[in-house]
Amino acid sequence: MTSVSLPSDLVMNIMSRIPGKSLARFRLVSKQFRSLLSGHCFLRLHHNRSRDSHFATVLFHMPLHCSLGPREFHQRRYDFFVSNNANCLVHDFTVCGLMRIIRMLSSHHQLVCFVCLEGIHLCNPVNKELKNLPDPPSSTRCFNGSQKCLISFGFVEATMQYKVVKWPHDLDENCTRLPSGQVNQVNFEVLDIDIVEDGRLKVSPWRSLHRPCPYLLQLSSHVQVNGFIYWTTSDFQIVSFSLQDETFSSVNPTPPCFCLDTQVSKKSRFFKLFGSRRNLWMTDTDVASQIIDIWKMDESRDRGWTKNHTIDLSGTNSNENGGKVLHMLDIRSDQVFNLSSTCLLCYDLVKYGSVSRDYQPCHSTDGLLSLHNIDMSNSFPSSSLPFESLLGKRPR
Amino acid sequence: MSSNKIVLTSSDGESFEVEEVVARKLQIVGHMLEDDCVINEIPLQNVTGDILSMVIEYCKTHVDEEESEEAQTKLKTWDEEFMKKFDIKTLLQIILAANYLNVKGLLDLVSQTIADTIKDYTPEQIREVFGVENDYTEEEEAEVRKENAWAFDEADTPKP
Repeated sequence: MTSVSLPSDLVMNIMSRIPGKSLARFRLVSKQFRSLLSGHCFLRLHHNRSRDSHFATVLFHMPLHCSLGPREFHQRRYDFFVSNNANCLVHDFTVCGLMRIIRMLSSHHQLVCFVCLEGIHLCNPVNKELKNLPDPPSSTRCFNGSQKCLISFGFVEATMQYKVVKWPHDLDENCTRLPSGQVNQVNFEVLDIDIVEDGRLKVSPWRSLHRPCPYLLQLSSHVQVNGFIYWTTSDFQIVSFSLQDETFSSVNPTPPCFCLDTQVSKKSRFFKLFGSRRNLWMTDTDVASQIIDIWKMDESRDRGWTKNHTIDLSGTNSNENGGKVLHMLDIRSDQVFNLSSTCLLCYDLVKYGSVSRDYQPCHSTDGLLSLHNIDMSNSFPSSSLPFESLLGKRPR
Repeated sequence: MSSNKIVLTSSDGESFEVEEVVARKLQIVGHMLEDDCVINEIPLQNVTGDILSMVIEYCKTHVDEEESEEAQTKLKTWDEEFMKKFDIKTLLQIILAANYLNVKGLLDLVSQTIADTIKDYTPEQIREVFGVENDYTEEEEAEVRKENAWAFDEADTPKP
């Protein structure tokens, strides 16, 4: 074949569209190719593009059978399946280890963060790397007394950094004890992880910070989207923390359903925030009637809220979700994935009424991602996952 | 819209008469027309006739970029079919032309098509396509291969 010599900006343009695994192979082409594919400028370009390619990660796990001793009891196996936008498998791999994964946090980007009883780990599903992060200096405990996760994780676009934040174990109480008229200070710790040449990660030491936070945060409501952490507050506000600026602020407006004025009529309603597909969502569940409204915050239009769907689960086998509030895992244009304490539900927004049993517990966001905040140690204890589909009634 | 005709001449002397709106899709031509308004024949020194005709075919199809979803889908299908006609060597010629003539849409389309084509190539095939010499010593090559070992294993298919 006669070859054509391309200028390096065109080679970069092409290579930025190549999956990470092929790129690693192409570093073997020549020295010049290797340095081209390892430079900061290229990595930024490639990172931005891979964010747009909507990878999905599917994860299963099971305890490994082992009769050697009580220590091995915690040996577990995690299977990763990385697929692309068209749902084609890019690759899969398995990690075995003693760690107990308690939470899996999405960066809505490339890396996944595991928060375990034994510490915090970063996983790069693309090159199968598992990295242990240093323990936060204040305390190694990543969960508070009521097993709420104290760790946040996200990606900051502007600085090409991943950040891990460790919140104080009394973040809830801290704020509820707020004396009126005084601005509360929250002390927390931040770990920066930079992407350096060769696409490798450089972990900086933990930094201790304190910032004013005059809000009554509900720790368990915590979700992460696009470099922001969001909470609801007990006085019907939504509060965000910017990973880039490292400051708190309140989100305005809130969804119309979520305000103090109409609280009386909302005794049996539950509100939950979710981060999915680079958007912030709120579900408004009426427990008595089993009707769920799904609201979406539109980043492009002044962060206004629109009601996307109404799901009516009445008349379905409500024992399946035990009358509890469902956890929304993922929302696509055609389906919503929900998780209750016992099963994974899939609500078909288009062909409502049809049962689909062939889905997997995947969560696909921008970049790679996650079954977030599922308690991995309890949810799926055996090798077979408890798939159950509920029949949807009417989308709207 | 103006129905002026413009003649584009390739490096090997082939001439193409196209409407001004089509020619303006080549940003290089757009700039020339702004600089001097009385041109009606433009020599394009870095493109051969066969490649230029492909670029013009793309520009003619994309001349009115309609907003409607239906039109967009139709264009996308056309793009896919259009790209299927070319082998990797021709694709590289087209990307050079799209870059020189400054046709943004075509540049993106061809870059993606090339990426999709070569992503499963071996390093040896990449060297061939891009005309790159392997300048690693045996030791160095072994070292880089070791560093990136995960990308060379064959565990790419789902386990049973």
